[in-house]
Amino acid sequence: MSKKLFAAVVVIACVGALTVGAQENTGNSSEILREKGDQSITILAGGFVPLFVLDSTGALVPSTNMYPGASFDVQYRYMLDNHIGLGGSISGSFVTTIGGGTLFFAPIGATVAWVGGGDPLEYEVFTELGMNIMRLYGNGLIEPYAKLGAGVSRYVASAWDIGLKVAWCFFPEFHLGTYSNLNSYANFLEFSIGASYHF
Amino acid sequence: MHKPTKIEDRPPEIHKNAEKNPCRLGGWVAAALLILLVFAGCDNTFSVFQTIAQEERQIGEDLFKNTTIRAMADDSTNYYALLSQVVWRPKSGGNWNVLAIAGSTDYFAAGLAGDGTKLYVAKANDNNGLEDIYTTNNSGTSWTAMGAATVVSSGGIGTDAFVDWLKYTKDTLFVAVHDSARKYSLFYYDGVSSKFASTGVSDIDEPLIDIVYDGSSQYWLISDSKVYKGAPGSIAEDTTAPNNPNYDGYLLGIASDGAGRVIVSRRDGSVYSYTSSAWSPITVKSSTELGSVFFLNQPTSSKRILIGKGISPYGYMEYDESSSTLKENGSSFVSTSSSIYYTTIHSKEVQAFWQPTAEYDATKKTLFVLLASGNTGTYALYRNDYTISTGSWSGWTAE
Repeated sequence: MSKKLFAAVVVIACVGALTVGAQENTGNSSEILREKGDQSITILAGGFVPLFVLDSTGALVPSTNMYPGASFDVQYRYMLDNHIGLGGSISGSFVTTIGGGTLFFAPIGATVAWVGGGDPLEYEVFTELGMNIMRLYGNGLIEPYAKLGAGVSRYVASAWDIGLKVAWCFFPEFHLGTYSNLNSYANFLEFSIGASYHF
Repeated sequence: MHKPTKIEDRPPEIHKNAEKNPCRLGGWVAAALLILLVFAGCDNTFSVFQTIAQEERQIGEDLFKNTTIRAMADDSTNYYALLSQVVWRPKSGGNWNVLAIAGSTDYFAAGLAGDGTKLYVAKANDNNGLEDIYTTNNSGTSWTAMGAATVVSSGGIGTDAFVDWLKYTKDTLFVAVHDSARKYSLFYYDGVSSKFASTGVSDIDEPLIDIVYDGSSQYWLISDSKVYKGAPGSIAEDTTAPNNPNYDGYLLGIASDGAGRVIVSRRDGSVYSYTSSAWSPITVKSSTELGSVFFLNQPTSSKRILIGKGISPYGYMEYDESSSTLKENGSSFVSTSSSIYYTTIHSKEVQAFWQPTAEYDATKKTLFVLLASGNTGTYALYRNDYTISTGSWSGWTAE
C-alpha cells in the first residue's frame, strides 16, 4: 500500500468512526463523565510526517530528506480532577530517508492534559515531555523531546471511546563541546486514531 | 447501541483501584539509571538529522541489487563486471548490459580478468565445471577459446576443474581452480608456449584467495592459511620469519603498493606488512575481523589503506599510515560524508576495491567498490571519482 493511500485510509477511518459514533449519542453535553481517580489506557496508531529541521544556528535545513512514516502509541492517564489528567506515554515511530535508511524513534514521556466536553464528544489538549531514543544506521541517541497536541474522542461503549489525535513533535538533538555544531531541531506532525479503555 | 458512560455507571471496584498510587521510587530510580547508562553509550560525534540532511538519493542499475560483484576489468572503452555473467558499460557512460560471449548471453561466468586491452572470461557448465576460458581484444566482438578445459599434459588446466577466480597482473593471467576432491591449484598462462602451466602451487588443501605482483621481483599469493611467493612456475610458501602472517584459516586479503611492499590482512584485526625482506604486524583494529585490503594512491601526498570489515555491519575502514589514523563509518577520506557511506556501503561486505587500468578522463582517478549481496535496498557496485586538480573525491555513487 502506498504511503499516500495509507494516510488517506487512516484519515477516512478516523472521520468515519467519529461520525458514526456521533450519530448514536444522546446529545446531552452537560453530563460529567470524569472525576478524580479515573484512569484510562489508550492505544493509538497513525502517521508521522516530517515537517522541517533547523540546524545548530537555527537556520532551516533546505530539505528534511525524510519521507512520512508511521507511529504507534500506548498512553496511560490518571485524572486529578474533572479536567486535568496526568500520565505517561510510550511510543514507537519511524520515517524513511531518501538514501534508503530508516530512522526509528522510541519516545518515553510524561503527559499533562486538559480534558473538556462530555457527551457527545470529549476533547483535549495535551503536552508531553520525555526522553526520545533515536536509532539510525546502527547509531543511537537519547535526547529530550516535547509534544503539543489536541484530540477529540467519542464513547462507543460503557468503558471504551475512540478518537483522533494530532500532535506537533519537537525532537531536538544536542551534542556537547566541539560537536555542538551538530545540534539539530527536528519537527514532525503526528496524527493518529486510537481507542481508550476507561477504568 | 452504545450508550455514553456516566461515572456512576462504572463498577465500584475499579474506582478503588484508581486510588492506588502507581509510582514507586525504586522504579523511577532504576529508569533514571537506565537512561544515564544509555546516555553514556551514545556517540557524541554522530548526528541523526545532519546525517540525513547530507544523504543523496542513489539510483543505480537494478541488476546490481541482490547480487555479488566478484571481479572487474576494463579495456580502452568499457568497464566489465562479473556477476553470474559478465556485464559491461561504456566508460563514457550509459547502461550496463550482459556481455555476449562467443555469440551467447546464456552462460555462467566463473571468472573475469583483463589487462587493459584483452579481456578473459572463464565460462562454466551447468555443474560449475570449467567449460573454457575465452579471450577478446576487441571488446567482445570476437572471442578466442584458450583450450583450458583439456588435460594438463596438453597445455590445459584439466577436465576436473572448477574455476574460483581469474587474475591478470604484471603481464600474466592466473587461474585459481579446485577439483572435485576440493584440492586447490593455481595455473598461469604461458604466452610463449600458448599453454596453461602450474605455478607450483598445486593440489593444496586451502582455498586460494588472491595474487598480486610486488612491483619489483615476484608474485605473492595467499591461501586462507599461507603466503606464497615466487615467479610463475616456481611459486612456493613464504617462510620468512619472524612475524610471518601464516595462520590456518586466518588470511583474508592481500595487496601491493607496486613498489616492493606487500600487505596481508587477517581475521584477528592485524595487517602484516612485508618490506625490506621482513614482515611486521600493524594492528588496525584489535580483535576485529578484517577483509580485503587495497592500497589507495590518491592523493599521493597522503596514501592510505582501505580495509574491508569482515564482521557485521561490514563496510570498510580507511587507515592512514602516516599518522596511524583509522577512520570508520565514512567519517573521512574517500567517503565525502558519513551519510553517503551509510546509504551505500555500510552493511555490505566488501569483495574488493578496483581501479581501472586506463582512465577515460585523464583528470580523474576512478575507484570502484565491489560488494556482496545483503541489504536489498542498496546496490553491489559503487563508483567514486577523484579529481586530481582539486584533490577531492566525488563520493560513492551507485552504478
